[in-house]
Amino acid sequence: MIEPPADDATGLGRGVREVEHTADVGLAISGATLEQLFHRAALGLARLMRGDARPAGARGATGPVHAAESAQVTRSVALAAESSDLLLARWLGELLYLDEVDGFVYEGAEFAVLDEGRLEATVRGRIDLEAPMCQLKGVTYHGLSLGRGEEGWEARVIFDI
Amino acid sequence: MRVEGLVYADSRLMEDIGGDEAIRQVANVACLPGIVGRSIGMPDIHWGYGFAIGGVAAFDPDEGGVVSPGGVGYDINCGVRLLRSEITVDEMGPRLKRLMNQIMRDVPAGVGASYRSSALGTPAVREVLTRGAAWAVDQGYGTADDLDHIESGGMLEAADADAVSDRAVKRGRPQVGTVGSGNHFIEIGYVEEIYDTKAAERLGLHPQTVTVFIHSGSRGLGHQVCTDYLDVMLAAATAYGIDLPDRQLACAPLTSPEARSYLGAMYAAGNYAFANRQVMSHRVREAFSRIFERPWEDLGLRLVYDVAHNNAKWETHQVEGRERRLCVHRKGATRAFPPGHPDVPAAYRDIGQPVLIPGDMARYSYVLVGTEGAYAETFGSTCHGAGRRMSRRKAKKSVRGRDLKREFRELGIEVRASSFATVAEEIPEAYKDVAEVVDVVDRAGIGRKVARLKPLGVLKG
Repeated sequence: MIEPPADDATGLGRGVREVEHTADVGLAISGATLEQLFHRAALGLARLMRGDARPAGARGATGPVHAAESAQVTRSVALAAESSDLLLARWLGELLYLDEVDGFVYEGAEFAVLDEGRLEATVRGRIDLEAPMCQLKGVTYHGLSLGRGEEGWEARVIFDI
Repeated sequence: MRVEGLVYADSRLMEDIGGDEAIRQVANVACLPGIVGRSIGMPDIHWGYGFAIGGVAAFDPDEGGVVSPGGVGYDINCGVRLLRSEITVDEMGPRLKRLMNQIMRDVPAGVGASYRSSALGTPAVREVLTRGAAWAVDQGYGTADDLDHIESGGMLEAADADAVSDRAVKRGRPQVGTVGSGNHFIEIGYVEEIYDTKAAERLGLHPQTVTVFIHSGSRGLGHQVCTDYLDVMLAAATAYGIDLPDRQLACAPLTSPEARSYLGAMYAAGNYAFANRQVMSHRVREAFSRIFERPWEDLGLRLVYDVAHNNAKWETHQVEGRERRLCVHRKGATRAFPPGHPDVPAAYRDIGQPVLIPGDMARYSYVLVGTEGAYAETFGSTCHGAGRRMSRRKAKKSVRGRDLKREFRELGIEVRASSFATVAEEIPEAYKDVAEVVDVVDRAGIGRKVARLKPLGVLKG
């Protein structure tokens, strides 16, 4: 799943915006396809935790750059869930886990399988052992949603911080 | 709703509380099976996930009562401990900056590269999960006397290390003795005002003497336990036919194997949190020793108490005229047992259990004691802090263009942080005024004020 770098107001990537929550942090994500939504959500999570790591030229503005030059690595991910929104939560939970234990920062994925109950993907990313800007504790099921909307697929997810 | 909801607040605090989803969350909890008494919100209540932060609820296993990871939270047994000292504010004086730098060096934030090399082996983590703060004392982090000044003696005996996943253990290996990020902190302060001389004397708090708050929890290990069991509980809720108003309230009957397994894992994570705070205390004491060039014992750096905020514990309470064994969930709430309760340490039994209420980074914090009122009305519980009133996003937005470092310097507060982005999210105005919160608690009789502390230096993860 590759999208051209795009300037966006939020710094969380195209199709991702932060939603208001008193104590925690929420993301609203949209995508034309389920794959695009899962990719954008993962990128949004990575940027929430690590900041915008795209090369300075692509960002068009100054911002933190975390070891963007490090070599890309891959991980295999296989998940199942009873519904697509729970699958999204587990996907993000898996990426949160990989960041914490390995410093693996998501950059992209090739989805071999992605339907409303199953995901198999090879994820690409970089290793960044520096402290994340924002350490998230978990992906909550509170207010979690994923469904078809005006722009294809739309989702909401709240992270405990 | 199966029971009433009750939120402790005055009209001023209701302006902050009414604006988000917290009240609805109190109502959601009131719908869960086997809840007894009331679904309670403390005056520092705010929108959480599942339970509100500042929520208390008790469940009776004999009435189909449940346990829910959403009533405990991701940061299992997150809590705060207070150390007191004989050092006066004047003696601290110019040493404060050096002390803050030393603590910054000695207590890892626990994220990033630098701490990974000191990871514990898996067998050691399993021992932490079983023995909690006692493990830390055995390793030379503190003294046996410390254990007498920790809720539950720093060790939850019903812990089941085998119920904790390998993933959780892997997350926990490098993080024992680390602060973490978010609202966790180490704060050097001093006793600014005393409200109850007898209780303050018993706690060892003297005017103008230096104190240390340490706020952290079970780190990635606890987060993973919650994540793992949320899915177990979601399946269990379906299997046991429990209708959930919010999936984060996924739960299982207390008598079920799923509940037993979660409780064992949750208590194990609780022990990890106790050990984590114990190791950090030791490192803070060593930092004091180095800067003051005296053993920490000579500085009187004694543990006052360690309380937990996020757990579900088996306790006996009077409900509807009879004693019942209940599972009391406290999510962002503090146990506040009254004088004479056998679970209050012997040294404090005549004054009640110490309750530690940190405020924001700049204003003040409070020390209270538990009361009969809390025991009768709130399952022996009270508030846990100031409570957020502004989202992190709004807080960050509000500091644009401001020189936060200078602002804190002008307030006389030394701030150290791995990232100033965290400080921006934690600015004082992002929180309610903890004095208002504590006043409500004191007036309602669910806690009694003993002393107010003022920050001198704050280290954020």
